[in-house]
Amino acid sequence: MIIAGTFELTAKSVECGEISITSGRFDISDVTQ
Amino acid sequence: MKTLITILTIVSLAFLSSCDLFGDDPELPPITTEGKGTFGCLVNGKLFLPNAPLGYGSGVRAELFANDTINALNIYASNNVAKQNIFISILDKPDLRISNTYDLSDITRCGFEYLNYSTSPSVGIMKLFLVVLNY
Repeated sequence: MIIAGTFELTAKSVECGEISITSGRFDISDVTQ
Repeated sequence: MKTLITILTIVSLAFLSSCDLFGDDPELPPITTEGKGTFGCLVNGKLFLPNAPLGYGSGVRAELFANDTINALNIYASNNVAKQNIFISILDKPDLRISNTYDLSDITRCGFEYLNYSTSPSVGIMKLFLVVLNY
């Protein structure tokens, strides 16, 4: 089985401030079921 | 002669500093759908790639859970050198939808964690969603 996709995220936390995650991508065949 | 050696040294250092002696800098893997075992993103503009100790796989893996009512996909990526972990979880029923865009801020369907424990012995949780099954 193959799991593939992209992701983006912006979040804030009191402890670590703002975090911006961009250009996320994954293409995984090591999928446990 | 001493001046010549100094000039050659400076020129050599300038040349070497402009070259990448160890190959290209790491970069994001291309977007593929062939199961190549890749994962990558930019965290505040800095490259995150999985990295695992020898014998512990590639640092990225996924789990798929399914029962009669719901399906869940968990994706784990870790870099033991940078001491960072990323976890993505997606729930859907009756099946995960291919080519669907899931909103990571929808806590009824998605969870996301970014852990950075490189700067202190404590764990900094950037964002933590509790997954609530509210169907």
